[in-house]
Amino acid sequence: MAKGKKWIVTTSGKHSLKDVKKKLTESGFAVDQVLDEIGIITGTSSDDNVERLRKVAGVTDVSPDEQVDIGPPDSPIQ
Amino acid sequence: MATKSRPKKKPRASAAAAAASSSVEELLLAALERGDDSFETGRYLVTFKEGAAEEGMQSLGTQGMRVASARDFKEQAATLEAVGDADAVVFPEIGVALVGSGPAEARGLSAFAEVAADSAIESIDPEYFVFLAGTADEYFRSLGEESESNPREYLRGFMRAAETIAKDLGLGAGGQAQFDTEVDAQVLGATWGLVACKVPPSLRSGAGIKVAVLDTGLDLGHPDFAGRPIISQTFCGQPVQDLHGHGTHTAGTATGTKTPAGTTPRYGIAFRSLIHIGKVLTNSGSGSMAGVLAGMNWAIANRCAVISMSLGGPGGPQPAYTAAGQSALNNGCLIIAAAGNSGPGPTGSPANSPTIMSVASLDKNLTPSSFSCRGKIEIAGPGRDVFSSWPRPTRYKTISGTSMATPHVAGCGALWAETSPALRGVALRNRLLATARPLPFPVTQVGRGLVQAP
Repeated sequence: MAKGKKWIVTTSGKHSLKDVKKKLTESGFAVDQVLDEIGIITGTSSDDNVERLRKVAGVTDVSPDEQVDIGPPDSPIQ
Repeated sequence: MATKSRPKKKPRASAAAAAASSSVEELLLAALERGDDSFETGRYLVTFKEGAAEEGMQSLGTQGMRVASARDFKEQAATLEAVGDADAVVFPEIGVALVGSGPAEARGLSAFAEVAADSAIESIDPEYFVFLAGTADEYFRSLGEESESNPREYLRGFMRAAETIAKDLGLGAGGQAQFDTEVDAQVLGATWGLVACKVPPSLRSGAGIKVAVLDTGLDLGHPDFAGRPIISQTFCGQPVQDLHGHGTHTAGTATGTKTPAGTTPRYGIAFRSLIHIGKVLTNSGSGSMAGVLAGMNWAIANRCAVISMSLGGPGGPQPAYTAAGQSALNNGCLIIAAAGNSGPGPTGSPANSPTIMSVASLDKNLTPSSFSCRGKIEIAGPGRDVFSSWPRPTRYKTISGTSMATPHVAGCGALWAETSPALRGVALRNRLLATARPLPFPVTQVGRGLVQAP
């Protein structure tokens, strides 16, 4: 498995997601999930490899996976 | 359905429920219509003898039935609503076929039919409804409920008449918009939020509309959801059962029952919508973007007309959320998200994506809540002191946040979607905006105003 952190890859929808996935894998991206309804691929890569991923045809964005929240259960504001 | 295969004698169940593809809702209505309390759906399950499945399934075809196979579906996840007007659906992996009531009657298939010894058929059995923990009675009751026999409905009608008279007399207009919650809860039996959104007098229920709530899951055994068909999926590695509370609260507002037990006021909006629960946040209330995106992908794949997301993170618009929002709109789905609670700070993600509808929170006096984020706001909903369902044993809880405002917009969105199949995606968003009640505050705080039910 590639060392590093989780990334979210957004695609243009103009290339087949299968092809993009293949090229990402060849570029050192360990794919976790392919979300075909929304054209997004998630996976793991090292930081210094990300520029390579951004250059893959059909890729429009590569952003780090971030935490999503709501208030803790006892918080008055959710 | 071709005329050729239509039985001469109409089955007692309504025609809509005769095909293999009938929705559970249609089947339940048909069962109610024929006064059937046997829990039978009217469809039949035909089990084939071991090793004779292929032969048996072919024989259905030679009898003139249009047969769909689960093999034709991705990962064999056949959904019966998706098989079109097929007379039967076969599940090759388990050697079973589901045959619609109409086609079955036409060919003399029933649980009592003689099965020839050399037939490929092992047995023919009635299909039964499957309910969540709890009883089916409540669901049947809610379907058969007559408004004139419901005192609460009568009171609502009375209030509507009184309002009209007051308006005609010029008493209703002007003054500060304020809801006296105690009076409303007593007279209308509904929360201040529902009253403010004009939900109680709405004739809509969200029937047939798929509503997805992407949150911390749902208390699947909550008595207020007993008998409701619930489709659920986890994307965070934990069971859907909500041990946090947030998801049960937001799902309650968007999709909860019209008639909670006892004196509990009504707090749910689209009470006949088809509930889709995507657990994208763990029981500690956090998750990853990857899990949230997987939930969005699932809700869109299921063609949920409304997708409610009371969650978020800081920072600018995320390209992934924007892309997901666009895919939703392209597929007739609308994503509605909470603006965030770090007001007066800017709207967080995913609500700040242009393809996603951002919801601000209002207090009872219809002023923006102090915690509500500002900036990219499309619409506002009741978010302060919102009463809704909570996991057992607590059952109900009153909390505040843009998380609570969001499902008010989602629920009303489902009611609007029910009014016309054309109101989907962008058209649904535009209708919600066009019908919102304007408020005397900047667009950056309340958008086009307070969401209103049809």
